[in-house]
Formats: sequence, C-alpha cells, structure tokens
Amino acid sequence: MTRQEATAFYRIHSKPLYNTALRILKNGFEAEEVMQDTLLKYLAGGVRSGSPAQAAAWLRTTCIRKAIDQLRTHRKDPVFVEAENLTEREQPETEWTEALPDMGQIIRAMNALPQPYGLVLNLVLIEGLNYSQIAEMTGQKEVTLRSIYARGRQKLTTILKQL
Amino acid sequence: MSKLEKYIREQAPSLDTALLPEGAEDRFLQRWEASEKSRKRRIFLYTFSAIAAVVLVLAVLPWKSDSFRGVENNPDAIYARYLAIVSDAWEVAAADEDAMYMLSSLTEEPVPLQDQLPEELSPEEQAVILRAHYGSLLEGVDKVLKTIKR
Repeated sequence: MTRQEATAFYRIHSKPLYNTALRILKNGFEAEEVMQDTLLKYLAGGVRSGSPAQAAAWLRTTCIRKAIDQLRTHRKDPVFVEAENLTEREQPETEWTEALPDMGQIIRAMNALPQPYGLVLNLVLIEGLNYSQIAEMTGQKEVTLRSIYARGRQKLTTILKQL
Repeated sequence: MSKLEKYIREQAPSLDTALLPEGAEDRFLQRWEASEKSRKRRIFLYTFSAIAAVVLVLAVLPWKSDSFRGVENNPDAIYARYLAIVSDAWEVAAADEDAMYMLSSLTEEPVPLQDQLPEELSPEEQAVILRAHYGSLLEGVDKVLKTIKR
C-alpha cells in the first residue's frame, strides 16, 4: 500500500471511528489513539477480501472493542463496579409522552449518565449492538447488561425531563 | 421499545459530527510509515531466515548421506551401495545377537522403497528420495555397530 492509498483509507474511515471511540471514552486524545490503532491493525493484516461495507463493519467492531478495553484497563475506576451491586428488578418501560428532545439534548443527557449506564445505553442505542455482543466485549452477563440498560433508560428519562 | 429509544436509534447515524483533532492525519501517517518499515523488516528477516535454513539443510544433506559418495544419481546404484553397506554390517554384528536383532528390525523391508516410488518421478528425483531414506537408515546401522564396539 502506498502513502497515497493509506491517506485515502484514513480519510474514509477516521471520522466515524473517532466518533465511535469518543462516545465511549469521552476523551479526544484516547479516542484518536484507539482510532489509529484500529486502522493500523486493519492495514497490518494486508489486503483483505470483502466489500467496503464488511471492512467498515470490521473496523467499527474492532474500534468499539479497543475502546472498551481501554476503558477497562487504563482507567482507575472499574467501569462495571456498580453493576455488581445491581439486584433490583428491571423497571417497567415507561412511554415518552412529551415532545421528542433534539439529539444535542439527548447526547448531553447520555454524557451526564454515570458508568456503566452511559456505556451500555450508548452501545445499544447508538452503536446498535445487541446484549450478547456487549456481553462478549465487556465480560458481563447479558442479564446484568439488561438491568443496567433498564436503569440507565430511567436515569436518561429523568435527566432529559430536567433539561 | 419506547418512542424515545426508537428515535435515538434512528438518529444515531447522524451523530458522527465531532471533528478530528488538528494534525491527526499527519500523526496517523507517521505511525503507519513506522509500522510499514517494521513490517517490511520482519518480512525480510523471515525470508532471510527461511533461505538460510534451506541453505543449511542443503549443505548438511550431502554430509549426512556420505555413505553414497561417488554414487551417481542412479537409483539402482544407490540401492546397491546401501545393500553392500548393510551386508558388511551384518558380518560385523554376526557375533552379537542383540545387534543382529536391531539390524534386522532396522534394515529389512518387505518391498524395497525403490519399487514403491511412482514411475512418474525422474531417476534424479528418485535418487534424492532414496539417498535421504537409506542415508537415514545407515545412520541407524552405524549407531548399532558402535554399540558392539563398546
């Protein structure tokens, strides 16, 4: 691969990957590093077969995995420490009856959520992962993740109503 | 799924709006160039090691099949030389029952290898295989004879 090809590849994939990593890590420096690691890992594998969509999907999954690993291994506070104390049952789903907030408000509210709620809500709602994929990436049980999601959804609703 | 969740999911693709920090592309290209250099160095080292290993094997092979020195790449001549050496070994080991037993186990073959080789192989290709096979057996014969001398 030439420098020109590497640059073109970078320009296609860097922004979505950076945004994905940034949503998880909430730190621009770390997100850039994870984005670069992901692209370099792909390029180090040589020319791969498959469609551009498959390449994008591989990059996105790898980026999310790396960002979660970064979160779990390089931060002092364990991400899922609070999850271990989750014993209560899932809250019943409440329908949102008010006018839908704009996405800026939603992102601000999600950023205000403590971990692990922010992470799990982001992975389910924004990144579109299912519980089994998140369980595999985080080492948590699916049932725990469902509880975290349900509680996170309640917290998000509360925050949004206060905005 | 609630209306809010559905709404967030639908809007998710439009969220990649954060701009990359300044200089991010240059930093990436620097890392890419470094990793490319490292990858090329690794490929060179692997290739060099593989070639060195092949050269070493080729250098050692004639020494290992020293018993066939002077024999041309003729399958019949190689087999004849092998039989001659084995015959001499039997004479040396004649007085030692254990050695005789070991030699018998080592060298007797119901169908000679030469007769089992595909006819499609050229005489030179057959010779390479026979040298390797009988050379290895003769090493074993040599070791058996050394136990007698002790």
